[in-house]
Amino acid sequence: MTEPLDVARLRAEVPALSREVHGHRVTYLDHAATAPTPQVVLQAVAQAYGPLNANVQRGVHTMSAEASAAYAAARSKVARFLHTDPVQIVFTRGTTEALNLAAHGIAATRLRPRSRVLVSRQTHHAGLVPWQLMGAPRGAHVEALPCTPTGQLDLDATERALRAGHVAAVCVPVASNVLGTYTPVRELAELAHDVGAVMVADAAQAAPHSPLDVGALGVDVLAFSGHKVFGPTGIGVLWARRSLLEKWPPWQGGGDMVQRVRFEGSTFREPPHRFEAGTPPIAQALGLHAALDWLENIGWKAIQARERVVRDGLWQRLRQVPGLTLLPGPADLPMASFTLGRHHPHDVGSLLDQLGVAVRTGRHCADPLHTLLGLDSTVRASASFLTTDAELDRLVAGLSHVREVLGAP
Amino acid sequence: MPLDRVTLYSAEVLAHARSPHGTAPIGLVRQSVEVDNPLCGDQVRLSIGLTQDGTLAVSQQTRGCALCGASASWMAHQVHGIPPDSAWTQSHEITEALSNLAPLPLLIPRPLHPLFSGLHTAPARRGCVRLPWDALKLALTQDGVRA
Repeated sequence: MTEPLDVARLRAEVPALSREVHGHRVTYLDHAATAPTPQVVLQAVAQAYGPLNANVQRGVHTMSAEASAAYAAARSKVARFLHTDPVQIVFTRGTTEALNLAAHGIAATRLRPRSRVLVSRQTHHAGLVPWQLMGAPRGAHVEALPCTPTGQLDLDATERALRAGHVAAVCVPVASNVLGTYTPVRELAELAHDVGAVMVADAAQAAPHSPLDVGALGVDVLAFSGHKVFGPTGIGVLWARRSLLEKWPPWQGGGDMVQRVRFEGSTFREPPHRFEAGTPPIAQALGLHAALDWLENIGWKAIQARERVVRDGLWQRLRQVPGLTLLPGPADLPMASFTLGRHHPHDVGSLLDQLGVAVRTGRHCADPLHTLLGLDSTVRASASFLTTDAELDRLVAGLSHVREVLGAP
Repeated sequence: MPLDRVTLYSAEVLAHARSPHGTAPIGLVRQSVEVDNPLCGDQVRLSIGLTQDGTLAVSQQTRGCALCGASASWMAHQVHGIPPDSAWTQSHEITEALSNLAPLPLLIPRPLHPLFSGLHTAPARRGCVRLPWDALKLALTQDGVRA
């Protein structure tokens, strides 16, 4: 039996959750965009700019050595989170940069004229646009993976699409940032590998809700962001199989990624350093380390148990709101996207904001999915284990306020 | 609730959104443009022409939120029948003031005052109000009113 979380105590450790917005205690339901930062992460970042304030991997003095050790420890922490080893962990600015780096490496080594890259319709733009940028100059095509009318992967049709040939890579989100549903990554990876394709997974939405085992997922490349796992902005993680990283050429040049530099040409370090040119995000890495420690100390089983309760409470409440249409689900994650009749999501979001309720509105960087569902935009309420029942009630009360101002949906 | 938060969705804004001005077709169309908000898919279709006395005639069709719809309606009301050069100046002033790069707090440009004085409480919505004026500026620029 998992011990229930002391949500009130944990919320007290997260400064942003105690602020007011327009005279109301904030009801933060935008975790899928960015998670609020706990005090321990703020302290770790302050430490990086305090006693550990030095550049890493290049100084012989004590402060640099200490900062380098802390930076290396962060990489090791991330590796344990992904059940892998540190040499396969590249720090980036975020998931977007990680996916761009992956597309760059795969394009350089595998994309040829007629190559195909298959991408999920649930993808965030960061899982699609880099392939378009990298594919077009090489004559490669980017195609949508077959899916059901509700946006879920159609595995039978996907198998046929893969067997049509020339598939260099498959890219999917581990969990949709709109629907909050998981993709059957393991099954898809097996199909992709059967035709020799590289399997790329965007774990930006999945990482805050569970430690990830890249071996069990069966993927070849995986990316996630620090700020969505309660860490700082400005840091992300790219994990890729060593065999891939060793073949990929550098994508940015500068200090720290080189072995020898001559005007005639340069040689490059082994991964992961080859892909981290210049001063890396040191403070952000230390903050990410602290965030993962914080989540681990809370306990993943307890987090997941609490998030199931929050998800069920969210969906149960929203199902009872007159005129509200939930996007297909139910979600695996504690989130829900919806429309409120004729009311525009931006108007809904602004009126909720007047009551301190923070939700995301728009297309959530997922145009293809919205197009498939025949929607211009939606409202997304995304919670976490820190979300209380009272907050879910305030969301519903806020939707009543929307009806009062704008009329019946 | 403080007044400044109520005024974002004032009765006037909602009235414009529900019963927009300037949706009737115009006679001789000189330019037609279509602009979109990539964040939400809102769309403004705008046609401009000239009346017999050389003033501006506009026709707008807007699919969007209440603020975008009200802004399009207000714009049509404001610029219909004024010299094209004056309309361009207004559109320029508004699009510059509501640019995503404009410093905060927002300074609401005078032509928007009667309706959108509450916009400074929700600066993330400036793009919604700006979109019809982006369309107008584009149409006038394409028509050679200003480079």
